[in-house]
Amino acid sequence: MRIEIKGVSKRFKDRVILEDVNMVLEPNHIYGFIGPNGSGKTLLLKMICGFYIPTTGEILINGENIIKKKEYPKDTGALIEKPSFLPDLTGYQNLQLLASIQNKVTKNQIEEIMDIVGLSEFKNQKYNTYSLGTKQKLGIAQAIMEDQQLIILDEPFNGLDEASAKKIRAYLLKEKEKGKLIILSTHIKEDVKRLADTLYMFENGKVKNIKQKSK
Amino acid sequence: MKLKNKYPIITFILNQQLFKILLLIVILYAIYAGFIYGNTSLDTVDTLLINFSTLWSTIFIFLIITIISVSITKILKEMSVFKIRATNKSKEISQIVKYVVICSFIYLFIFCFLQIIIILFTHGFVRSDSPYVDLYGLPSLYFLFFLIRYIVITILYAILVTCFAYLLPRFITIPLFIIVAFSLYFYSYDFYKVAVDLFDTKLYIGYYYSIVPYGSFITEVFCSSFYILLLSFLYLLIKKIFFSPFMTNIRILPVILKNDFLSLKNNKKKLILVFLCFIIFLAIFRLVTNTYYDDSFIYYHFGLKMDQSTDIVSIFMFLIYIFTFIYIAYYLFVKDIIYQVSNYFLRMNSSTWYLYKSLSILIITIVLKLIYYLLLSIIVFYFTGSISNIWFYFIIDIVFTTFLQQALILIGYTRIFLKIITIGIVIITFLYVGISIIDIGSKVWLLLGIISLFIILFFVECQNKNYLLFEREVHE
Repeated sequence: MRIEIKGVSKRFKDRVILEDVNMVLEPNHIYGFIGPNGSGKTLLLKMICGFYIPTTGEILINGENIIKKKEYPKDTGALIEKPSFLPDLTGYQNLQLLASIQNKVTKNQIEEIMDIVGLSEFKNQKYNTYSLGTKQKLGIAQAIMEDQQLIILDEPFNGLDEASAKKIRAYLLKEKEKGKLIILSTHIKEDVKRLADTLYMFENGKVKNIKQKSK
Repeated sequence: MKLKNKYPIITFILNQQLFKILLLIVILYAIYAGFIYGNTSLDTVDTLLINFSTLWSTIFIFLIITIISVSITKILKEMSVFKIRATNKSKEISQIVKYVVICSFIYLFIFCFLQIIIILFTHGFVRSDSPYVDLYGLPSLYFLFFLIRYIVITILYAILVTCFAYLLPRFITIPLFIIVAFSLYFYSYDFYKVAVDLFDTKLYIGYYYSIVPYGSFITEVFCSSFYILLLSFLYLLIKKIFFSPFMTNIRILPVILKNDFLSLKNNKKKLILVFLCFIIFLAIFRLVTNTYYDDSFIYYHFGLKMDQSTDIVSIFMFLIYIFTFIYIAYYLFVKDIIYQVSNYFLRMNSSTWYLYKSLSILIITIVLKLIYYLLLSIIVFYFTGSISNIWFYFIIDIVFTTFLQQALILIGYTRIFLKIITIGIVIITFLYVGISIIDIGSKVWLLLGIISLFIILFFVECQNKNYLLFEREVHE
């Protein structure tokens, strides 16, 4: 999957959130979006998903303009803002319910994903008993469980302990090697500094490339 | 060994613990039935026929076949290597059916073969000039026909169970078909008359497990063949409707519905309880204090009537009634847009979500209104000893409420141009149809037409503008 962002700007009434953003996101790569809260990182992620449209400019996914497409980008998993799960169901049941929409993954695969994000021991616990970090892990699990080619994670390490964060970082690096395109967004630079091949800094509506892996 | 190489999946299925236990049960029952039921002084063919049409044998085979079909469906649905090879649902169900047919045939063959062998060995070849059953003078041929029909119809039953087992959760499928199996008992005895009254008995599957005399052998062959064709057609119809590539999205409905029901239970339980308690206590209070009672009381209290003579309490009832259901629809619609963004919308497009969301809101509205109508009917009946037929208004009420819910969605989430058109349509509809549910009558068809128009408009909008649900400043 290849994403081209060409001259994208976004305004809400008179407020400019993003201005003239240009970037090309390639597969087999991890991109980090960093910047303070409200700098437009999440908004750009939502635009890549097709939930919002740019005021000017265009976003092409595999050469197709996302606005003109009748579907949201396929083969994409995302954790954007705080996802909602059913409190009366266990983490496993919540994932199973979501997996049944596309019917692509088996029960065993769901269990594997839960193991990867460190949720195995909480598998049969109800969601309303989960801690903040465990909820976050479930959000990550839903974003990656269908082996999507584009993975978008907004503030993925929020609430995670160092051991869990390390495990997820290792998993993301492994997935990158498989040719996936991974976008991580965070307001804490340290979270993605080592992980990302390319870093973009969001500030005052502008986006700057501050780290580029040599090819 | 040959079977092992050719059908690894069948070998895998038959090696499961459950299937080994089922095989043991089938063998034990066949031996038991062969010795006990076969121990008669009748003609051998008569004995064989009676043996196979014994009520408990029929119930037994129905239960065994139900368990086999449901279990195979479950195993194959969860087997990823199998799923990957079936490119679509239609192919997947065809493959599952193939394995169900083969396994059912193996069990049926063992069941029939053992009984026949035991009866032939213990009973011998007794011939009688006055057979117990009318066999059209063709005893051996008739038995062969009966056996083939027995196996074919049982296998067709297994295929239908498989389809249901695929579509419905196991906790519904197994009790459902256990009821079907035991309904044979009722069919045979106490409920025979009810069965005759309800449907032509020739359509009932239990009919083909009994020995029922026809005019001639040819007539019986013809009727049975027609029934077999009918069951086959039913399978093809189910496959066409529920397993076509266009219908595969139907699996989205339980996801949305379950989420909506649980969200309502968790977040709006108090609102619903307060609403129900309020109308119940108000109804009791008004019934106790009112000396005069007629039908109009019910209509006003149910929120069904609104005219110039409506008192202030009834206007209040009407408004509470209407706004509660509009609010529930609004809440169910908006909660996904706010909280399920990455969970839902990267797994389905917005137009598909909208269709299933509308269906989910409709189902929830029906369930809640059903509770509301039942509670009020019971209270009114308790205090007055009679109640007029309100169930016709129940249907109109659902249509009227859906009209308002869909109008609200359209007004809330489309471009300004469509908002104005929708508001215009709603005002014209109110002027023409009125807001009194009881007076809508045959104009309900007009409301249904407008609801369809609203749904088509929103669906097309969602298809053309994916961002419509999330963007607050919709770009023209």
